[in-house]
Amino acid sequence: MARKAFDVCATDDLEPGTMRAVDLDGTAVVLMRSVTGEYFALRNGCSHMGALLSDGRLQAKMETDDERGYAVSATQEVVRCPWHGYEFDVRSGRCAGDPNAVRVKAFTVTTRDGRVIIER
Amino acid sequence: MAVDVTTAGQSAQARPTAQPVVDVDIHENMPSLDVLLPYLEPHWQRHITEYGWAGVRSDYPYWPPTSGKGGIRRDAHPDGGGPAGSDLELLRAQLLDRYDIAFGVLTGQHHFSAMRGWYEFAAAVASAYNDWQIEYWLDREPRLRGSVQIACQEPEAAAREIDRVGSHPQMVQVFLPMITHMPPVGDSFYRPVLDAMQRNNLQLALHVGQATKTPFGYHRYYVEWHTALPQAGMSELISLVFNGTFERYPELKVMLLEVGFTWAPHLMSRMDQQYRELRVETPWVERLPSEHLRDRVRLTTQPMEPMTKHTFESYIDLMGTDDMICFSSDYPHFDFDAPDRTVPAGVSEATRRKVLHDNARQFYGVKG
Repeated sequence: MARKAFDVCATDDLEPGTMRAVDLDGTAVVLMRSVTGEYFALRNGCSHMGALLSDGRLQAKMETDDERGYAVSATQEVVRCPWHGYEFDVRSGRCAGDPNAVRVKAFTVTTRDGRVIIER
Repeated sequence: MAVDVTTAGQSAQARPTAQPVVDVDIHENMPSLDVLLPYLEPHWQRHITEYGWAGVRSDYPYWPPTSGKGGIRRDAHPDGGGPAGSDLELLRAQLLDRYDIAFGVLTGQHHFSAMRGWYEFAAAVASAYNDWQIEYWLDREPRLRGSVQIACQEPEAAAREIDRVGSHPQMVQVFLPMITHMPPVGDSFYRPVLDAMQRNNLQLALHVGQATKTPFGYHRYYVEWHTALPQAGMSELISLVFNGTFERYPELKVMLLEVGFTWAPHLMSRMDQQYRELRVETPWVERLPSEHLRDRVRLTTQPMEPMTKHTFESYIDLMGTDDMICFSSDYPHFDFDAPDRTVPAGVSEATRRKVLHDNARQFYGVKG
């Protein structure tokens, strides 16, 4: 089935490091803008219990360093569910704690003429 | 649907093993503490000969109400005297020869790591025990494998002992009791011990004992305490996984002794669930906890609950593998499990062979 493009907002409507819920003809999507300014979109419903990811946190992924201590990622961002805390990679939608089995759908996002376009 | 309710322990159809068996939990014992004296420095000998040290003590309150005294099989006391498990000939007759044991792993009776004082003496007596274990058991019976006994209260001293005897060709693991008055085994406190294990290509054996309390301490009755023992095993595995022990020690494997296995499916799914939710707290854990357990942890049959083929296979399905379970007899304890009655009748030959032999053989590798 051919994908449909949705013009959801102006690029300036979303500050870096923030996100918002958008509706694509009945499909709930969370649109995120990373701290580096990139746009990403995931299904706005945690695959675990259905919480709105847009109510959670958009943050750098917690990783470990060479000494097996804490290290906040400089490259990877996740959206963290407001309920149980599942983390979903903003690019792939895969759950950081169980990437092979748990994920939410990721949508393609582009920008054109100052507008943010999500394909569904 | 009709279910076959015949259990292995009750069935006349329980099949002979028809294959070599590996027994990963055999409790040898000393005829008396005097056997340690030749291996102790004179000043440590006095602890036994003059100060009256009579073994590791604790506030353990029970005298197990078992048929044989002290939680021991009533038929396991040597005719010539001495405690059960102290006579090689009787061990051969009641276990090694009778059940065609290809090799069996000694796990001892004395938990020097649980001593609440005299740590230097604990280390010395553990060392003496290892020498006696090698001379009395391992040198005399090639089917036996040994456990390096340590006093972990001072981990650096324990590491030196592992380095001292760990290269013995029949030593296959380091023995640690599950001691609930000390940190769980994933704690960084134990790193010198785990470093030494890795240097010596030894695995880790964890075993319950008198120093294993429940979250409520010692319950009123022995049967309560004995029923609750798997809780300690669960806590130790939780500690190993979430402290990143399996990432830090990529060759480490763990044999969890005398707490059975039927609780494992619950622990695996619960740890996975907690990890999905709280991974940020322990980001050094790089795999699902259940994956670590399947690859790195082996559980023992004893004390095996009687069960049907259907029940047994259901547990394996829930665990996601038949690689994790290894036969153990717990000889000469009262709740001894016989290898020909442990795996329920009707279980596939492939799985039976894994449980009775292959899984343990693979766990211990070339020393097995």
